Amino acid sequence: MLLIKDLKKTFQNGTKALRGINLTVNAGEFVTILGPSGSGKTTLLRSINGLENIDSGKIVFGHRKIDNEYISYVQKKTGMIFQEYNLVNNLSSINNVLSGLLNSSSKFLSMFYLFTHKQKLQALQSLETVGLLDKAYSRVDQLSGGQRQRIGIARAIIKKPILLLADEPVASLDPRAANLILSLLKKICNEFNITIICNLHQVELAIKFSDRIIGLLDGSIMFDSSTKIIDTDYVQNIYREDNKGLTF
Amino acid sequence: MIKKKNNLKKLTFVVAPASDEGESLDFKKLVKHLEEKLETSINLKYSNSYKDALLSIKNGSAQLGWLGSYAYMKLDQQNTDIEPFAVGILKGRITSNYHSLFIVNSKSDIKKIEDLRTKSLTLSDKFSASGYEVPKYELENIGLPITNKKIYKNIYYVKNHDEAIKRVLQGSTDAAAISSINFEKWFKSNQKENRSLRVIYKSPAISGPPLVFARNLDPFFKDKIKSIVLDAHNHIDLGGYGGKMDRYIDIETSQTKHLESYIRPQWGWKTFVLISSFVSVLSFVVIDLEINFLKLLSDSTKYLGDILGRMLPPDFSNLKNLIYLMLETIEIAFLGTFLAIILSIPVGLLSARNIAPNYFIYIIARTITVFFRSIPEFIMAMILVIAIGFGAMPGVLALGFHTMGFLAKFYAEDIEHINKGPVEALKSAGASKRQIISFAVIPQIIPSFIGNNLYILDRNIRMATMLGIVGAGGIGYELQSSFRMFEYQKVSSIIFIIFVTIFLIDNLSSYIRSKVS
Ligand SMILES: Nc1ncnc2c1ncn2[C@@H]1O[C@H](COP(=O)(O)OP(=O)(O)OP(=O)(O)O)[C@@H](O)[C@H]1O
Ligand SMILES: [Mg+2]
Repeated sequence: MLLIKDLKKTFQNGTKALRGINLTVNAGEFVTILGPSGSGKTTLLRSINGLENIDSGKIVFGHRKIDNEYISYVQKKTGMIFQEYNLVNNLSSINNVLSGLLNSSSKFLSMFYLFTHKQKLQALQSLETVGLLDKAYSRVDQLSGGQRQRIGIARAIIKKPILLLADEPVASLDPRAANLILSLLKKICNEFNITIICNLHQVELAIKFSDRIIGLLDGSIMFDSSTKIIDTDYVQNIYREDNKGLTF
Repeated sequence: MIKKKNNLKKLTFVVAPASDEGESLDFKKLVKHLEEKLETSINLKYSNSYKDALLSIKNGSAQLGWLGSYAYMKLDQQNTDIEPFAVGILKGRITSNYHSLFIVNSKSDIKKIEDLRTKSLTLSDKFSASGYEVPKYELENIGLPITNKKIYKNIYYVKNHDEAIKRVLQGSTDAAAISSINFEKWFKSNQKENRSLRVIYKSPAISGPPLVFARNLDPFFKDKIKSIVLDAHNHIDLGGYGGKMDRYIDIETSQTKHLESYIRPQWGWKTFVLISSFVSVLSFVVIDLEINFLKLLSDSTKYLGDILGRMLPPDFSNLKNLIYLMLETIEIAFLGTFLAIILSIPVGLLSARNIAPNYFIYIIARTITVFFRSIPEFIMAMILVIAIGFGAMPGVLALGFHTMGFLAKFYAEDIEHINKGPVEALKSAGASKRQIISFAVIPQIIPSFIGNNLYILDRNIRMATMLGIVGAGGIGYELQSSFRMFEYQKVSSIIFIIFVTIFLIDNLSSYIRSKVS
């Protein structure tokens, strides 16, 4: 469903963030991207949904190459989850989740936080999926980190995307909450058949939850392997040798 | 596969043991109604355990029944042979939702579920949602998993919720987790005793337990059963889990109703109170000031037209002098703003609660800012003109001191609202207060510092054009004398020059702002 060919990106200050990425992601796959800090994981995700302009190469979404016209459709069909949640803290959970529907809501009514009955049901449905129905009317700043990330997920899935991009969704969470969030993503991937591309730093979590691991280093793909046949020590070691002193 | 013909001859309706047989788990009328409509005999069987009930549908010895909420919970993994098709709404309710409750004897000193450590707990059958699955999950969440034997004195499992209630009353267990439906039922029918139990925890809502049938029944037959059940309330008094039922509805409708029960208006009553009180105050003020909009409209068009006619076209004969005066005005504003910035930095820092060295200094600094803000620069300029004579100086001083009050207030508020994270980080690294100010406070307020200063400069230029009226220098003096002499065309030319100046300054300041932020 996603095909990336020879993708290159150099920032204005001369940093070569991506140096020719080739990648195919199948529908319904849960792909993890591993890589040390600065290897270009965030830049790759941001390039896919058009938050970053690419220098050369192409990205094909569905059957069409992403260009300026097509990008708004791609954005409609992809959800994004952020490390820092990016929620509006002094709004209620349900209003944060409803903000995921703004793209398809009445511009006038939504300005006053007014939504249709059906949209509210959709929002509650998403909240139920992430198990936070009873927090629908709590302000987001009264929730724990793990709960906030679940609200972030609810906001991303309310518009029924076919692709979910998660940029280090568990980096600020404790191991238990991290496990919970990833199993939730896994469940969403399986039940709704949503493709997930997730940046992570933890090898164990990547192996436990995803179907496939892609190792990124210095803007290039170092390996690409199914988690069924992956050798954990091998993955760990690549990073140790190549980045003495760097942990990820 | 069960053949269609067999179905029609004899069916079994199995009931899991959520409650003692009787009114609170009564399917007799429903089953009888089904028998009549289907023209089949149906055997109503009360099972001894959830598991037996579940198995009997799986192995085909029963075809339909009621299994508690468990029927939903493990649906995807294990119970593919079982299909929920309808859920009952109790009389007087809108949804089928219920809760799991933790109850204790009123005499007990247990206040919340966290207190259950080292106590004995009674749960129901492992297949009960409110008596096992949900309490298990809730206890796990607070770090008291029931799988850890060391945490509890004892965990008992009983057949149904009524039994659990009995044990709490007797004192043979410290606490029990039961369904809110059983609890309410008990509460109603035991008026005398009902103070003797106390609820210490109520779980989030659980969807009501459905009626189910075997998935492999003939589809046509399944539809028939379903439509009879959904229509049954029109013909008979229904019973079910928890007592008398208003009706049975299908699962999807029930799910929607479940979600709907959470919907609240987007705007609460507080907002409406706020808006309506604002409107009332507004109308009161308009009435109190005797403002008549119609009269205002007719008068203003009449006189405004007249004066505008006399102002046009502007008279630029004196242009050179006007430009010179305008420049002087800008200089006054510039100097005044500079003075304000210099003065406001210390005063602003000292009037921020989190920076001021002590409360006394804080109060003094606050008083200074309020004092200078409360005297209009016009008045200040008048006094200064008397004290130090005509010219630019009184204008500069009046503007400087007045807007110092504003800037100091802006800074103080910005400082009070900075992100505390960096401050704490530096504090924990042993930085001194002054170091914290220059490393964590000032960098954070720089953008708004620049923005505020530009705004004050803009404002001071506008004000400086008026200060000449009281003799404090600038173009204002010219403006006033033109008015006095009824030279309205000169007035309009001055207004025009002021407009052009402000327009240019406005663009310049937004340019600077975009460059620095
Ligand atoms: N806006 C930017 N301008 C210039 N360089 C940038 C910008 N964003 C990222 N970079 C650089 O591009 C490279 C890749 O950055 P990226 O954020 O994609 O890494 P990452 O793998 O997500 O790292 P992390 O694990 O720390 O989040 C880095 O060297 C980074 O410094
Ligand atoms: Mg990143």
